[in-house]
Amino acid sequence: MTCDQYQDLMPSYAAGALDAAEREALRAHLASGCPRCAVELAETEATVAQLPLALDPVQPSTGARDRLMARVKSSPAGSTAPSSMRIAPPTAPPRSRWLSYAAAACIGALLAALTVQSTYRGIYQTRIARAETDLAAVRQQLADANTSFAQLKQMVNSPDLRLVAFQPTDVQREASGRILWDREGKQWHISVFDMKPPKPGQAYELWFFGADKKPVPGPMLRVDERGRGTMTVDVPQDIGPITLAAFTNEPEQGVPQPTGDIHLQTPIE
Amino acid sequence: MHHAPGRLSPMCGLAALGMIPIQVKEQQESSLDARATPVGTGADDFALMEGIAARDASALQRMYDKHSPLVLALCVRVLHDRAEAEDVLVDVFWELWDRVDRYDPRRGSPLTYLTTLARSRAIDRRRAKGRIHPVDLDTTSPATAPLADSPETGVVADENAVLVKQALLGLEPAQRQAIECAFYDGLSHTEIAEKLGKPLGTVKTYIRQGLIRLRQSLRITNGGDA
Repeated sequence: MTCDQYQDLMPSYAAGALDAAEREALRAHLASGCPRCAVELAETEATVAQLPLALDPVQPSTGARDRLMARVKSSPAGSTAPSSMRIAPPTAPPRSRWLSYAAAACIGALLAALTVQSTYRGIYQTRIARAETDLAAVRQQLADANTSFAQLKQMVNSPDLRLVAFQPTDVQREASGRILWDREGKQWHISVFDMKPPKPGQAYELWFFGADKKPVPGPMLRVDERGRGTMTVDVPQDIGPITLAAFTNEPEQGVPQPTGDIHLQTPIE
Repeated sequence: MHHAPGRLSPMCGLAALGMIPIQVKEQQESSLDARATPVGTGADDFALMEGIAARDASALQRMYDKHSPLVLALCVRVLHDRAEAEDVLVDVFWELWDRVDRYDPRRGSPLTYLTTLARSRAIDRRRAKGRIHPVDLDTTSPATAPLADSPETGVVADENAVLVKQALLGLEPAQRQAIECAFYDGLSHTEIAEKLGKPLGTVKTYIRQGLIRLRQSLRITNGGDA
């Protein structure tokens, strides 16, 4: 399975709905240390974790609290002396017994201190580990951004570069965009502006049209909250000269044939 | 071939390109796709966890007083039995106290840990009592209940609850139902498909698309990058 396929399983995994075989396959992939999937799962789990917040709170009975605190008080590690307990003045036990008591008290105090210290250390160590995971994710995102910038820089230095402007349509009158076409590298760097955010579950899909005017699907484009988006695509070489490029709104996983409205388009000479 | 205006047509749109100066703009700044911050996270919850780790019972009391209404609501939703739900509630907070070392901040906030633990324990109890049967389960969606002061509990749902409820209401009913069957009823894909009378692939799509939409809604509601 590819990372995309594993990421498709993550919503069901986070919700607890995966069947056993798929669950184990996903766990094995995560255990391999895939950073992208780890980040994706963390975001998905964070989403699922918010589901209970939609429930109307239910005030417990006072009996439930009493039962809990009684259990805490009766536990060895958590016992607290009630204020009504009378603490007897110390007496002088026989020497040998005194030494035993003293040794036991010292050992007990040492163990308690070590336990608390260990717990504190554990908490801070896990906080550090969390920060390291976050840092790894940020480094990955920075690496991706650097890669994209390097691609753009290479394109700009191409000896055969053309600029093509997208035309808005009735569906998106305010939108605009352009294609920076590296004819030598056979790539388009597309930038769009002022695009309306698509509905949840949708994204913009790029279409190439060859001389036969049949649409060939391209990658999906995602826009940010400002309506801006960029993508670098390889121009298909097996459909002849490209005559038209267009964006339509489609389900975010893409479709083989256009179903949505045209949001941007441009003829390609 | 005629196409309605706005539909895809290779024959329309022949505007001239015009002379457009090439401006090499900077690469669109990469918005760091930060992990969505779970709503309901309180910085003081971490301080309470440290207190619990230091065996401060008052810290446990404060944690209980703060979060027990939500945890109990979750247990009631899973078990549909108030008495059993309170048993699980006590067990969950006891486990929080007794095994505080199991809490991993990397996995989420203390509240996330509590709700995850509560859900797991409640589903385990229901399974142990043999109550898991896909067809018999109550399909009432808590997200569709009106958000108001509860006359029974006197507890007012906070702003975070409103946001999550609104986000859930933005889902298609089938998506929401499939997610709730998985999360609250502990059903697998196969069991959900049987319960809803839908193909297995459709159920998987409901859950995936529903959570994607929920994630987008909550991310937007929370102001984008957290």
